Amino acid sequence: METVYERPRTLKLASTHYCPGCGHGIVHRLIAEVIDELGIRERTVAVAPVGCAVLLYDYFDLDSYEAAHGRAPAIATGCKRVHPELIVFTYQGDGDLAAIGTAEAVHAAARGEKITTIFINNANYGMTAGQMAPTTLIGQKTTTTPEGRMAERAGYPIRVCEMLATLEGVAYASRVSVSSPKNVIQAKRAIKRAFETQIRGLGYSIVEVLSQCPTNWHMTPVESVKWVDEKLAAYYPLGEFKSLTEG
Amino acid sequence: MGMVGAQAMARIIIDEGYCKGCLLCMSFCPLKAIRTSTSISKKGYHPVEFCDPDGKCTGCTLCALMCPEAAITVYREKRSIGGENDREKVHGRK
Amino acid sequence: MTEKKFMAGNEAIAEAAVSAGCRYYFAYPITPQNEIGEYMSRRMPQVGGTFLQAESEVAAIYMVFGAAGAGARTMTSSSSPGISLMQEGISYIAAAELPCVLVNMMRGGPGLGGIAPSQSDYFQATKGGGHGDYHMLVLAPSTGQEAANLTMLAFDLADKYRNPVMILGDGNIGQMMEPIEFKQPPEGFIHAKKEWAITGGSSGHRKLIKSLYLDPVTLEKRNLAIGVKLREVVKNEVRFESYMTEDADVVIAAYGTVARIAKTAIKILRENGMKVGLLRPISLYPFPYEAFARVAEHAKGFLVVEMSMGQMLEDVRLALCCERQVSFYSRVGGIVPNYEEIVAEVEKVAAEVT
Repeated sequence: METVYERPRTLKLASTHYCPGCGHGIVHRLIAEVIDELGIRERTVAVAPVGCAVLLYDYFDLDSYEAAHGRAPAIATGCKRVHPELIVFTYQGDGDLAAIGTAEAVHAAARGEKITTIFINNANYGMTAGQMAPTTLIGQKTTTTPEGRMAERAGYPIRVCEMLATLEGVAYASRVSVSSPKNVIQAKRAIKRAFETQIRGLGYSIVEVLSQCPTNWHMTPVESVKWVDEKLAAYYPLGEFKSLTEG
Repeated sequence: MGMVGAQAMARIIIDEGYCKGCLLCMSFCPLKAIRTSTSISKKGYHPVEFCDPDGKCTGCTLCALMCPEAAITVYREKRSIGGENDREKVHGRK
Repeated sequence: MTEKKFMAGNEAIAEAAVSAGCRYYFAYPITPQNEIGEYMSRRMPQVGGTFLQAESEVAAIYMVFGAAGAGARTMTSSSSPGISLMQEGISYIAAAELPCVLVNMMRGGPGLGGIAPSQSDYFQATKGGGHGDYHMLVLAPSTGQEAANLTMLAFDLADKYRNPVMILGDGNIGQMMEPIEFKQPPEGFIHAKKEWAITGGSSGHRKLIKSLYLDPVTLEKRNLAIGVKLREVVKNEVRFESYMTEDADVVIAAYGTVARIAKTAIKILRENGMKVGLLRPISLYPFPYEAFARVAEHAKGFLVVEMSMGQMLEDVRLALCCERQVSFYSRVGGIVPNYEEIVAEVEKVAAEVT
C-alpha cells in the first residue's frame, strides 16, 4: 500500500493544546499542507495572535513573530516591507481581528499589503473562556451575554469578509468552514488561493474560516460542526467575495 | 489499532499520541469503520480506533480530512489501471 | 568633511537617521514633529528605503516591531499623546529585545494639551511608560546638531544592546533651524547580520520573536537577563555635560532646550560675579547620578529648571540624597522659560545657600 494521506511536514510533531474537535487544529493542518505543496516553508513567516492560537509557533515549523493583541497585520507589514520575498501570514481570531485589531486589519487590506490573513471566526472569545465577540450571533449566549446577545445592548455581529472585500487593496477574500469533509476541501482550496495571491504579489488576501468551538459553545465536537452549518453559516454565508487574477 | 481485513484495499492508522477522541472522523466515516475505545491515552483521552474486519475501507480520506490533530495516516493499494488514482492528488499528500 | 546644511531640528533628526542606515520609517502625523515624516516621505524613496504613514501610532510602533524583528534599522517619531499610544508596543519591543529608535518631540500635556514645547514626558520615557520591568535608553539633545549626532548614536546603541532607544526632544528643538553637519557612517555596518532576526530560514534554526513566557521561572530568568543588560547600559552609557561647575556655588540642573537657555543665564550671572554652573544630563536613562554626587561635593545648592511639574527633579533629589538643597523652577503648558527668569531664580537660591 502507498501513503495517500499523512501528517504534513510543516506541522511540528507537537501535540496541540486545542480542545478536542476545535477548528484550529484542522486549519493549522490545511495551512501546513498548503505550505508543503507550494514548497514555501523556508520563506514563510507566521505572525501569531493573542487568543487560543497564541502558541501557534509551537506547532508550525516556521520563523514566527508573536504579536500583541490585534497588531499582527502591522507587524506583518513591517516584516514584509523589509523582506518582500518572504510569504508572511497572520492568523487571527475574532477578538484579535474584529475587535481590538480592526483598524490594523482594515488598513493593511486597504494598503493592499501583500500579506495573507487567516481569520478564525468562532463567534466568541475562546481563550478567555467564552465572552461575546464582535461576531457573536444575536441571541447567542456567552459569558458576557448570559441572556443571549441583544442588539439594543450589544449591537450587531460584523461580517468581516464582506466589509474587507469592498477595499481595492484586497485581491482575495473568501469565507469557508471546516465543518465537513466537503467544506474542509473547499477551505484548503481557498487557503491555497490566498497564499498564491501573495506569491503572485496581487495584494492582500484573507480567508475567513467559520470554526467550531465545542468547549465554549457547550457542545460536543459533532454537535458543534452542525451548529456551524445550521447557525453560523446562515449569518456568515460561505463563498468567494473577491478573487483577482491580476494585480 | 483495531482489526484489518486480509483483503483490505485501504486502511488507516490513528496515532493515539495525538488523538483527543473528538469523534469527528467517526461521524464522517461512510463505512462506520472507526469506533470509540475504552482505552485511555497518555493525555487522558479515549482515542478512537480503526475497526474494519471486512476490509471495506476505500481510503476515501474523509477521516483524515476532518482530523484536527493530523493523527490519521491513510494507506491505499496502488491501482494498476491509471486514471482512477487521480483522486489521490485532490487532497492529502501524494 | 561634509558641508553644513541649514535645517530644522526635525529634519536634522530624519537625515541623521538616514545617515545611520535607517531605511524603514513608520509613523503617524502629530504636531510638532510632522517635518520628520514629511522629510522621510521624500528621502526614503531616494535611498531605496520605505516610508509608510501608518493609520495610527499604535500601528506605527508595531510596524517598527515587525521591521526590527526582520533585522532592519527602523524608527518612528511622534509627540507626547502619540507616544502614549505606543507604550504597549515599546514594552513588547523591549521584551523581545528588538533594536529601534523612537523620537518624542514633547508638547504640552496632559491629555490633548497643546502644541508648544514641554518636558513633561520625562517620567514616561525614563521610568517605564509601558508595563513591566524594562528601560529605554533615553538621549536628550539640546541643539539641532546634537539631535543629529545623538540620533546616529541611538541606532548604534539600539543594535549594541538590542533595546529601544529614545531621542527625547521638544517642539523647540524640532522647529528651530540651524546649520547641521552629518557624519558619514563606517563602511558596511548597514549589512551587519543579526543572527536572531527573521529572514525566512533554515530548518533547525527557526527564529522566534516573542515575549510570552507562561512559566514564571522562565519569565523571571528573562527579566533577570534584561536586568543584566541594563546594568551594562548604566555602567557604559552615562552621558552628561558639566558646564562651569568646577567652582560653582549654585548648579543648575537642566536638559534639552532649557539647558541651552540656562547657559545664557549663566553667562549673565558670571558677568555679575556669581559662581554658577550647569550640569546637563544628555542621557536621561541612564541618569548621571554620580555626576551630581561629585558636583555636590563643592556646590552649595542646586536649581532644577524643567518644563514640567517636577519630573527630572526627582532624579536630582535621588542623586543628592538630601545632602544639598534642591530648588525647583518650572514653566508648563507650553511656555518656555526665558533666561531672565532663570537668572532671578538662581539669585534667589544663591541668597539662601551662600
